[in-house]
Amino acid sequence: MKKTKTSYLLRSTPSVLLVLGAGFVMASSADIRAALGMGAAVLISMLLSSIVISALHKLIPCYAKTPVYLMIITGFVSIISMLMQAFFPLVVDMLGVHLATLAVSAVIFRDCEEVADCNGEIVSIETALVTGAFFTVVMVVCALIREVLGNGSFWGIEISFLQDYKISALAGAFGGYLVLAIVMAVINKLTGLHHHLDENAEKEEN
Amino acid sequence: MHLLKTFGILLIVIAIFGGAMFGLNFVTGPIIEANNAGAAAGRLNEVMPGGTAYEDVTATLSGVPASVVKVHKETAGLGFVIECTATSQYTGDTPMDIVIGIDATGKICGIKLFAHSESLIFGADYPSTYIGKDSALTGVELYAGSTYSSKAFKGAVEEAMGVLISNNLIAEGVKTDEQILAEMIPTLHTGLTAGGVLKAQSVQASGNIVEGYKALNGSGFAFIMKKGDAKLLVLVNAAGACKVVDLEGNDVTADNATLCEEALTAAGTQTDFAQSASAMILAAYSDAAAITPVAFTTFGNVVYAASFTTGANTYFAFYSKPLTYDDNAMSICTVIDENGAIVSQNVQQMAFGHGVEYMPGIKDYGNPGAQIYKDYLNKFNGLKESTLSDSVLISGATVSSTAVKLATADAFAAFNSINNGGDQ
Repeated sequence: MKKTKTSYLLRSTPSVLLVLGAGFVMASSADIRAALGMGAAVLISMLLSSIVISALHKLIPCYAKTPVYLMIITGFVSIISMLMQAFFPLVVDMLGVHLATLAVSAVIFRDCEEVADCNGEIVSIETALVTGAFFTVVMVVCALIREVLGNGSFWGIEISFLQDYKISALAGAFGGYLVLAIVMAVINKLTGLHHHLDENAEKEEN
Repeated sequence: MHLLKTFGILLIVIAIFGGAMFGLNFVTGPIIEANNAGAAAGRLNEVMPGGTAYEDVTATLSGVPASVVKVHKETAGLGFVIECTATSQYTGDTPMDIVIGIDATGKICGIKLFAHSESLIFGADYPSTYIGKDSALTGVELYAGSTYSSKAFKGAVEEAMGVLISNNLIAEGVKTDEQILAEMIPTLHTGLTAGGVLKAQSVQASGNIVEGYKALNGSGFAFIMKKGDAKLLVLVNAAGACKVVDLEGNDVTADNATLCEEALTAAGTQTDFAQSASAMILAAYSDAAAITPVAFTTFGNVVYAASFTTGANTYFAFYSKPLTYDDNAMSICTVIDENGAIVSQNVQQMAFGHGVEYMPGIKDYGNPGAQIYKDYLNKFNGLKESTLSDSVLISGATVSSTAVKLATADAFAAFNSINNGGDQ
């Protein structure tokens, strides 16, 4: 159990997760408010979906798991989207269609299918929290770099002395992927998690 | 059995989430609706101080021009907010997005340019010059350096206010006499304008002169002058001819000789184009003789007229200076025979020859030695006033070639004023 738990936590680290969530990071990290909004939406929908799926997974037949899990994730994402539209309309405007596409996001679905489906509520909650929190942190770090250096602003407030030095390309799609790549490289270098993960996978195979 | 179970589970999940969302919608629905209404009203509120809620009344109005997108009525009766668009020759992909707030008394209480794709745009403070004005827009000038964009902007405001006036929703503003007369200038003295925009320097008021304008191309002057309590428009052309019109546009020159004298004195000695015009005549006819200045009484782009002879033939040359891009003046010499047909057309300083306006290949129009340039000028040979048409326009260089066409039309008008016989 300990080994399983560790491997799930490791596989949920940003170095793996980032690739799956790259589109969301690129689309939602041009502004720190949008990044926090997307991060919170991912974390909450992942957490709630994991709790429900881990509680019900024994009752759901194998052949019905995928459609049922998708329905559950879509339901939670829709509820979160409604709440955000009501209470954070500005963030919803910034996120646009990307908030709705969370319902079919591989980030959440994989977490539910691989973790919640095989483990109890505690591990599912732990994994969802770690994955969602890392996702949010990475989003915010990318947004911080892109908004400050690309837009010359912070939290939507213009920083006057940066206006002449801002790098507009960072605010666009190219800048999104560039910053994400740099952040991924730094995380991998600092944690060595890729290496650790590969070793872990090999041990499991053996 | 498996299928039924699957459907059953799915139905339960759908029912649970459907019910949850149905219930949640009672809480979030009104908030989302209010948010959406607030977002839509946000830009309207920016131009309507104190405005809160609006009703779209566009469909109830008649005669709504294409430039007016929506007309909103402020539900508390504060006035109207009009969303409209405008385009100029500097417009890129999207037209100007203008929102105008008009209070219940018919005065502009707010105006904002929300978006534009103009390559050359007026200053950010320009729209504020409209605030407090009624539909007469008295005192609102075009923006120097961005006359075409500001003209389009002003035109959109006039059309927007015109909708409310024609539907009896606000009272029409009363224009001042000076304003009415100034608006006649582009029609009555085309030499002072380019593209319908006044292209003139202000002349200091003195004596009976209330306002004065000196054409940038040297084609004359326009003065708004007072006669007792009345105001009159006095036009002076480059040849020193004078014309006086009243507020209704009637020619009252015969009754106002004194004002004409004062206007001519104020105009002073005008630019003498004899030398440059003669050079262009001699370039076309090296044997031209007896080049004699001729007076003309039209008010256009012609700045000099002369008659000359070659052998037994007598011709009339009309030297015009129409303005094109960046207020650059072209030099055009149109030679017309006694029958009123063009025998020679020469154009110098064409805008498309300076790289200001050209498409690939078109720039050769500015090269006097290029065949394409010669072919273009030869198109004018034999044309009479009645046969001058858009066939002389150049696709891709429409501003410059339109200016050449207008100058040619002015030459015909000047020829008719000399011969008093109209098209032959």
